[in-house]
Order: sequence, then C-alpha cells, then structure tokens
Amino acid sequence: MSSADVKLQINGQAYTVNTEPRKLLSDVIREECGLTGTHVGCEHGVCGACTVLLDGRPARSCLVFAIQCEGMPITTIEAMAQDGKLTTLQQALHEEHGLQCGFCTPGILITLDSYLAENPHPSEDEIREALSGNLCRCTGYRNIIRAER
Amino acid sequence: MEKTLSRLSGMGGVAQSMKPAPFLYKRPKSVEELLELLDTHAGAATILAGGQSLVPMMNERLLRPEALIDINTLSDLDYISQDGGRVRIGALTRHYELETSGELLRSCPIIPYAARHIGNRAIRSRGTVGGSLAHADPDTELPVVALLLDAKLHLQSAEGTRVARAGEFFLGPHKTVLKPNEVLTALDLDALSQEEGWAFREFARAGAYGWAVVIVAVVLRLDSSARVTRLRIALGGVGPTPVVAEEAVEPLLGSKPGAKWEEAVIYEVASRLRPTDDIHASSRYKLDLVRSLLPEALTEARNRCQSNEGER
Ligand SMILES: Cc1cc2nc3c(=O)[nH]c(=O)nc-3n(C[C@H](O)[C@H](O)[C@H](O)COP(=O)(O)OP(=O)(O)OC[C@H]3O[C@@H](n4cnc5c(N)ncnc54)[C@H](O)[C@@H]3O)c2cc1C
Ligand code: FES
Ligand code: FES
Repeated sequence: MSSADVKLQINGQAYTVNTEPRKLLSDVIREECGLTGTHVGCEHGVCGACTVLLDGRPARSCLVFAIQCEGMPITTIEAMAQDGKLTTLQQALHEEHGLQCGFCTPGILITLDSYLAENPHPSEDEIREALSGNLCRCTGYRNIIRAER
Repeated sequence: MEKTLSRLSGMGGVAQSMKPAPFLYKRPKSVEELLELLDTHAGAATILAGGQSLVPMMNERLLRPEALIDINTLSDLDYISQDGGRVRIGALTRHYELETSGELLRSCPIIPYAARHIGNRAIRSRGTVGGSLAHADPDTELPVVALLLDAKLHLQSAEGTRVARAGEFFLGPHKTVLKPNEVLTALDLDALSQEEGWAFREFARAGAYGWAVVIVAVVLRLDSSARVTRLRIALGGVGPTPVVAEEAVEPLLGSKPGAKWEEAVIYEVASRLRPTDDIHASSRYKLDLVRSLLPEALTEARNRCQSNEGER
C-alpha cells in the first residue's frame, strides 16, 4: 500500500505527513512530527505510555492509525507546560517524587489531567481507578497517588 | 524497520513484530458504500471500529487483513434512541457514551453500569458496542448484558437486514453468525420496567490487565405479592460463549425469594455450568466465584425491585 499525505492537527499546529495507512498515530507523532514526549511501550493498549487526547478524550495512540485522525484535534504532553512553566499537576508529581525514570509520566499526566478536569475532587480510590490503565515500573504508584491528592 | 522486524522475528513464539502488515484502507462515507465494499471485498475485508481489540492483534501480526474498512466516520451508526419501552443502540456507540447516556441511565441502567467495568477510560473512549459484540469474547461485559436483556442484533448486508437474538448470535470464542459481507448496525432491547430489579457483578483482577474472570448479571421481577415472576441470569467466563440460565430458573418462578429460594437458585445455576480451566483460573475457582457473586447479585436485584416499589 502506497503512502499518501495525511493532515493532522497536533497541539493546535497543522502537520502534513506522507505516510502509509498502517502507520500508527504513536509512530507518526514521534517519528514524523518529532514530538517524542509521547512514549511507546507495549503497543497493544495495555501500558498507557502512549496516551494522548483525541478529540479531547484520552486514547491510546498505539491503537489508532494516523490516517484515521484527520480532522481530529490531537493533544500530546508537549502542550501541557506553557513557556517552560509546569502545570500544578506536573509540579506536584515532581515534588512528591512521582516519577523516577519518567517513561510512564507523559501517559500518566495526560490521563490524570483529563480525569481531573471532569472530577476535580476525586477520592484516593477514584485516583487509583483512573490510573488503573497506566503501568509504572519504578515508583510503585504511591508517590504518584500522593501527588494527586 | 526491516531490521527491527527480522531481529524480532528471530524470537519465534508470541510477538514476532509490533507493527501491522500493509493493508488497503477504505473509509466509506455511507452505510450503502460500506455494504458495497463488504460485498466486493467479501472474505478479504475486515471492519475497523474502535480498534481496541483489532489493532493490538494487527500490531502483533496475529491478524493481517488485506483490506480494512474504517467505519468510524459513519455517524449514522452512533446513536441511542428510545421509542416507548424499546431502546435502540447504534453499533458505533462508544463505551463512554453507554456509560454516560441519560437515556440508558433511565431505561436500562445496567448498561452504563456494566460499561464502566470495561478496561479503562482510554479504552472506553474508542471501543464500541458493535465491536465488543462482534469480537465475541465470552468473558466480557457487553455480550453478557446483551444476552441478559435478550437483545436483537441487526445484521446488514447488500442483500438486506436480518435480526439475530443475542442467544443465537454467539457461536464460540470470537465466533458469531456474522457473515463476511455483513455488518452489525444496531441492537434493540426492551427497557427495564419499574417492577424489575437488576444487578451486575464481576470478579476481575486488579491492574492494567483488569479483564473479568467471571461475570454474573441478573434481572428479577416481583409481582404485587412479592413473588418472582421473572428471573433471568446471564453469566460470562464460564463457557465458550456467554450463557443464560433459562432451564435452571424455570422451576423457581412463582416463589417468594428467601434464603432457601436463593440457595436453590445458586444450586440450579451452578450445577449446570461446566467452565474450563484456563491460565486465569481453574474451573473450580470459577464455580466458586459464581457461587459467591450470584447471591450478592440476587439480593441487590431484589432490593432494587423493592426500592422501585417504594417510589411508586
Ligand atoms: C488494555 C485493554 C483492556 C480492555 N479491557 C476490556 C474489558 O475489560 N472488557 C471488554 O469488554 N473489553 C475490553 N477491551 C476491548 C475493548 O472493549 C474493545 O473495544 C472491544 O472488544 C472491541 O470493540 P472495538 O470497537 O474496539 O472493535 P474493533 O477492535 O475495531 O473490532 C473488533 C472485531 O469486531 C469486528 N467489528 C467491529 N465492529 C463491527 C460491526 N459493527 N459489525 C461487524 N463486525 C464488527 C472487527 O472486524 C473485529 O473483528 C480492552 C482492550 C484493551 C486494549
Ligand atoms: S504503547 Fe500504547 S498502551 Fe502501551
Ligand atoms: S517512573 Fe519509570 S515507569 Fe514510571
């Protein structure tokens, strides 16, 4: 199958990439658009590292083809801190040692940020539930959850 | 890319690659065009809905469809409507839409409740009800609920539309009566009445692989003298398809539900099940789960009937 132009809108900016239909959104974001904040772990939807916002909702960028995302606003972790200033959530994660290697962090931030926008005062159980689709191999989650509190 | 592939393919066994093989990509603009495409590519084409089951398998190259027909832009298939006591749900309705639909919360609250148990929010943003039913995993929420509510599934092809009841639709793990040129377009259900109480219980393992081991769902109706006039129990995780315990509950109708009655229900249901051992749980453990989830579900369904009673 041959390549074709795919028009994407990522973090408010337009990108045109020439790519095959089988190219995953996660790979296009990283390789063609150079936005390497979105991480890729398992590539079958389990680890959550590749989570982005598609049309304002969290979604696995490894389970959608870039060609499907034409005309859909996409938000990646790069849109979070403005002018180098961390958001409250990012700052909290930093202060509570909510990350070690940082591999899972972009996915965790995208997931929690969109969750907190809908549920600004979650209980600890609700935070755990909201994070149940994000694997972290370093922190044991405790400090991540403390940061959200 | 080629280098990565050849290195990975040397691993043998499970994952030989994590990138899908090439395919022909089609994005029909209407249901008619979809039906035409399915007809011309019959056998070689695969429908792409939410992609939450299909794409992982393509990434692992467990599947290499020649053509993918992407139905995500067919907004005609994405709706929830109600006409009196009848509810219709379009196949492209996403799990999160089931979860939050005011219509369903009123008419069939068990659906939003069950949908909340699927994967996690990111999966529910994309996954669809049609995809879950067509994927026909016997251990998952929506097939069990479709069977519980005796849903009627609309299967459409260029030749026309036929209707299959959920009880006939599932043939085995990932096997349904869908033909290669057919698409599931919608499902019809009866709204639950004020006299009916429901309950949904699943036992799932914690964490990212939070798939259910056993699922139990119940609808129960009491008449004005508190006798059971309807009892429907559907289960998942206990066989190659979701199952409904029809024969088992027949003799238990007409009684007032008490502790003895509950014991009889559990005995009749569990003694007919023959779950198999798998990597998640042994057959015995699954039966133990049924025996502990079912009484909770029966009590909850009964309480819901009685609190409806209070409201009337
Ligand atoms: C990490 C993870 C956790 C998950 N956890 C759960 C869970 O707990 N419970 C659960 O139920 N699911 C779970 N899922 C799967 C998810 O619910 C899927 O959304 C669902 O199984 C399939 O729906 P889909 O729309 O994504 O279908 P797709 O993946 O697009 O398609 C699945 C299959 O159905 C066919 N198909 C799709 N739509 C139609 C149609 N309208 N007509 C005919 N054929 C069609 C496709 O051709 C394909 O064969 C999980 C997935 C992941 C990645
Ligand atoms: S890389 Fe997408 S969920 Fe793991
Ligand atoms: S900080 Fe290393 S995986 Fe989470």
